[in-house]
Amino acid sequence: MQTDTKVKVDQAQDAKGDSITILRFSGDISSTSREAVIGTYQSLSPHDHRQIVLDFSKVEYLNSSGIALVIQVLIDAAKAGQKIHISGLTPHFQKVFTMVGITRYAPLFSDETAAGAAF
Amino acid sequence: MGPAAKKLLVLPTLVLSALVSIAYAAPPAVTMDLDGEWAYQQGDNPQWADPSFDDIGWARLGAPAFANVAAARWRDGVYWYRQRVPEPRVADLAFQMGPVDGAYEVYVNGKLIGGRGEVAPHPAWYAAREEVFRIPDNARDLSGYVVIAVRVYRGPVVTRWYAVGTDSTGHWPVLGSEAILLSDVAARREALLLDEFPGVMIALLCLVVGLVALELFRRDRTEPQHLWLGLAFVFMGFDGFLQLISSNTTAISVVPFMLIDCSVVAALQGSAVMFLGSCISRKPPFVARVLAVVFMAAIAMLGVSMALGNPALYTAVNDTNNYWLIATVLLGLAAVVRTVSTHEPNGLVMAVGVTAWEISLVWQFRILRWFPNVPTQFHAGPFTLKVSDLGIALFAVCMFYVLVGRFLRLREEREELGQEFEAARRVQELLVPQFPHGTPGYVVDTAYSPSSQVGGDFYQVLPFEDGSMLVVVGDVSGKGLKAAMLVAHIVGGLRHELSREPADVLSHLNRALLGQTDGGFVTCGCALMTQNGCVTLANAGHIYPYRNGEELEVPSGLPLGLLAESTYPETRVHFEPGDRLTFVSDGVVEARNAKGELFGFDRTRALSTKAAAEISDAARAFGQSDDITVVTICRQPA
Repeated sequence: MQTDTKVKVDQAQDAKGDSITILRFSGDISSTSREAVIGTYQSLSPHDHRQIVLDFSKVEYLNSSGIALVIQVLIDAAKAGQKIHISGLTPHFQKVFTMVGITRYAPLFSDETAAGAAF
Repeated sequence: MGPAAKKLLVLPTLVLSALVSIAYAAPPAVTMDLDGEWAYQQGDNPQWADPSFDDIGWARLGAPAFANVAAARWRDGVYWYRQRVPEPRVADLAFQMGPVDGAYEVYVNGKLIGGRGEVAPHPAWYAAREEVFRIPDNARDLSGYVVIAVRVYRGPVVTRWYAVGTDSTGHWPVLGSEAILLSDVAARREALLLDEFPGVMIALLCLVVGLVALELFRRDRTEPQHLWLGLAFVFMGFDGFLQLISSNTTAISVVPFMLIDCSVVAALQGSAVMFLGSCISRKPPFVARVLAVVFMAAIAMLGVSMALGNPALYTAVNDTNNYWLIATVLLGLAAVVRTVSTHEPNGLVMAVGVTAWEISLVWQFRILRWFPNVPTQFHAGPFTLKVSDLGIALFAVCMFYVLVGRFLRLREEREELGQEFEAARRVQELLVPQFPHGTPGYVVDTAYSPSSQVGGDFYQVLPFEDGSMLVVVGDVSGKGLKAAMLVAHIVGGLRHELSREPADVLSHLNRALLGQTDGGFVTCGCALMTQNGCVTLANAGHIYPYRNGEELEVPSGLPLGLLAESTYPETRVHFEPGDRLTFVSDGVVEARNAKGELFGFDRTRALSTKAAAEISDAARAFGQSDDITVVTICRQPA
């Protein structure tokens, strides 16, 4: 049974003291997650949120429609000049993200700390 | 009600009457009403059953009060009643107890002859009902008198609750011939059964309507109104049968019964309020949801107050029910106005049903406060019909009519939709052929299993005159009819494609799909295979193909339909005779079992040298959650 997508927005700092915005997703990400994924990203001002980590460590399921939403965020962020790092994917979805070409827009990291440290 | 239905009601009644008359043909005998003065005392002492006990110091009470102790003066607890009377000269002497709403034991000349419920130490009592107890010969003596002692436990709040019912019967204890007492009791029970018969039929009707509504909700989960209506009617029916069981059997004692009954009535009221709210808007308005919760809590509190034996709490909670009832009626009026104004099919019938139900509710339960002489029940032949039952019956009949209409419409729509899906499936079969023609030198094997009637996966095998062959395998994100429409668009584009180069083919498709994917995308793998074994591959986000059981990493561009400037690098490999290339869609690697475990890349790779159908079947058996496509191409030996 599909569970709702939840997203929590947190702030952190990198080694240089610059702000990092972390979007922590949980539940399932599918076609019904547009508001949680795209809506949450669009609520962040591109001027104030230059570095963003998308954390999927609490995500239980991610289908192709959900991946389409993530790609949409990456394309919009690339156009706005924002940097995005991705963390917390299972090995299966790391492979899927690589296959669909997401790594051209956002590097993948095993966890949030590594993703933040790499900015 | 039609003549046939009337016959259905009358027939069992006549049969019942005949049976009772045969069983209790009254012999000539003697009975004596024990309507004289009774001595009574609160407390409990087994010595008080002794016929020689002197009860001269006890208080005195008339018989009617024996059956209906005024709750204002009497508290719950154990009471003893005694009376010495002349013994009627009959062989089959028996004692008939009125419908006392408490547990009791009857002693005659110091001997226990029967009882109902448990008096002490853990009182348990049942709904009021007349009983007849035979007095055995060893309880009689030659004095010409009998001393009757009755030990009674009277409950707290529940006693008062039932006092109304006891009042109306007005029977006091009787001593006399067992045959005639049984005959009298049976006659009264028969009358009670006739009184209850309409209620039973209405309860049955409610259950039927409720189950029809729930079935309709099961078939169409987008209409919560059917859920609330179904629950309300099922609880109405259940409550009707619960009352019947309680008043005619000792299956359940009064306190657990009241707790269960209050729970059922609370669920009934909550569902009914939500149904009225759903008539106003698909998601019931906030005020309706609050009212449902408050109403349910209030009725549940009634049950708790009775279980706790707290009359003050009971009275306080019961008084608030007036407000919730008025609020429900106002909500019902809004629902009626809304239903009529939306001009939905049979809306007027539905409005009539709701209005009848609401009027009967107010009539039955509240109008007596202002107009005490207004009747709340009517007699129709041998039956007594309550206004509230009539209102519920009319409501149920109206809603049954409405539900049947909706049921038929839904079935018609489903059939039309099914025909449209079938047509779409046939079109897709033409677009995505089950047995595609390859080219000499290559054997193509495919398996295609959409998760619904039509799918969002696709493949095309396009042979050329020079013996080369273009193989395209893809997956539209999403599934169902929407994805299938996009597949038709893609296949049309591929069949008119002029280039054979995989990178060009993907670029052209990408541009054709820009703005067409409604926020989704299309993954696509493409391979050009020539007669000399040269294979050129390009990938737009599709799962890597497998070559002879090993993953073939083909550098990927973004999926199609996202970015106009996407490019697709080409990879060239050489295939020897016997080499096999296997494409799968993500429906294979992301098949999920009941535990949520994915089929995964490792299992897919291990199976990738098998026939297409075998790979597809394995993924489907694991747990299909998306369209599944497998295409294998094997280069034949020269």
